[in-house]
Amino acid sequence: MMEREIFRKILGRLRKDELRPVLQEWGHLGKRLHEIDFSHSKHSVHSYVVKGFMKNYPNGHPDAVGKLDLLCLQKHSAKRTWAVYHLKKEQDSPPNDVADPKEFEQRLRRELGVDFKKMELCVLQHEKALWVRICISKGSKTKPMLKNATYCVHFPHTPVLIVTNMKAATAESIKQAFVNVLGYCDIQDIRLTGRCVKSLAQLSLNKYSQGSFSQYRLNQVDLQPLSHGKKRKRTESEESITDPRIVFVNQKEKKQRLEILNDTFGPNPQPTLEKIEYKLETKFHGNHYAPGMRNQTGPFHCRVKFEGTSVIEGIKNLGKTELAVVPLPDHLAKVHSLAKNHFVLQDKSKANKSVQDSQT
Amino acid sequence: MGPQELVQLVAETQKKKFEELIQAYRLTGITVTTPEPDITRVCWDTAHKGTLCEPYYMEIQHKETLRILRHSLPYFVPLETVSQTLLNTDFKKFVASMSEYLAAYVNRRQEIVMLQKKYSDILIGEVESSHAADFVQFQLKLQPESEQIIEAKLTYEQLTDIIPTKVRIKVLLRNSANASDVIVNTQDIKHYKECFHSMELTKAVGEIID
Repeated sequence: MMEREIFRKILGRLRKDELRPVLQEWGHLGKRLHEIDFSHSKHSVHSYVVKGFMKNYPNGHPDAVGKLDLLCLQKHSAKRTWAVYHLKKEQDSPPNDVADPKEFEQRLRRELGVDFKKMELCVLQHEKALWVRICISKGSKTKPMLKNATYCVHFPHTPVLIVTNMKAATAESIKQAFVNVLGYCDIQDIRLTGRCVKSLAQLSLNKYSQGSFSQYRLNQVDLQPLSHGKKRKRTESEESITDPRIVFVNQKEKKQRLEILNDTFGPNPQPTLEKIEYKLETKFHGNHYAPGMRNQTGPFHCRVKFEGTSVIEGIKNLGKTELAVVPLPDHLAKVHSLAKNHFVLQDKSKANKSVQDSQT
Repeated sequence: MGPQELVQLVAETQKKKFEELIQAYRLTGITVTTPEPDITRVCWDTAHKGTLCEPYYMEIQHKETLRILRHSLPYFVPLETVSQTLLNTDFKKFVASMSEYLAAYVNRRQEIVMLQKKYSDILIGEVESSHAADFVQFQLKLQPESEQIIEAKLTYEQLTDIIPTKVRIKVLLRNSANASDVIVNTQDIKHYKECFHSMELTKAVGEIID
């Protein structure tokens, strides 16, 4: 009974057009999948799926729920907020990475089994990464609950782990299990969060080829040596206003601004980040607008948050639309290459002092 | 034609000649240029069986020591480990090492592409692989009308390998996930494994189905 409800809850997350391909990939219905009429209402289709599964597996199947949950998550991963972790290794020690999903699952199950007697674990390969679902039960006699599932994405041969829904009670054990399985010595939250797994991966894995250098990564610059002609450089399309009565007096400045922005951000779409947050611990610099603050000596604590559907693209557009002075300051211009979206800005003298203190 | 136009034409011809020289230089596989006074750009051009594939780039700043500024190498190449030991001690070896990783990756990837293209009639579904192509999994029928399916899992333990180091073979009956449903000829399994262990992927599959 409990399993029926769990299946209905998971299937309810999918749109009607997504049901058939997901169930096909799930593979636990076999020939019964062809007996389901997907033109019926979602509720009816869910009932057929549950019935079909119960007929195939009257005693249930240990991995069925986990696999289906993970497949549904892959379709709608943007509904969750993900955080990026960085695995650290000791000098000269090679990591112990594994690309085979089954072998990875076995290793992880062994590690997690030390701390947790009852859990569900599922590892699937999706878009060249290993997607992991870990569901741990509170007691040894209770079944793991759907809402307690933690989901992780790992790219083999990289020290990056992207995680969502990690509960405080099990966080340390799960992190330690990944550290042990992959042969690292520590794991750190790099303060990079967002909803788009692909963009988070791009920002953390390709941080040395963002901005204008993304053209080299996407092979948009040079043709192959034996082909003739030049690759057409991808440029931003300019506004084409054909009314001859309109004269632009600042064409030169506009062109310069676009060139600087192109050098900074490149012509390709920016990775999607929904939020960038700056915590300011600098002196107040707006005395011209607030003369009363002139006598303030200590730091002016302030938090600035940029939020939107794609904040980096928005920052680029601030320069394009002349709402920000170009060239942009480093903490805005280099955001795409810093692999984080939570920053602390300090005055230079204070920052140097804290670096010196940490070195002594 | 006036003297100014002649000078311009000569300059353009020389420029084109230099560009062609640079293109010819790229055929060596590794090109080093200096886009700015203190920045060196290395370009690795990759190829597979005589067909040129994509180039990879790295920009290195040289002040007191060499420092990598930007690069477009795939994220699974162990750049940090190799650069810590070789970048400032033996630059030639560092460049050669990167070349080895890239060549091996392109080779493994293109073998998968060729396999999908050449044997699409006997492959069941897609060939699954990791991004580094160091884990490959596929199912194929020995004959187009055969009920017997070979499930192969190939692992390349080092990212510089082009022949798999670990091969697991299962023989299944179509519509059965249970390997025990098939009477297995162990000699055949041994032969299949030997093929994968000794030759590149497409050639190995060709050898198996012949």
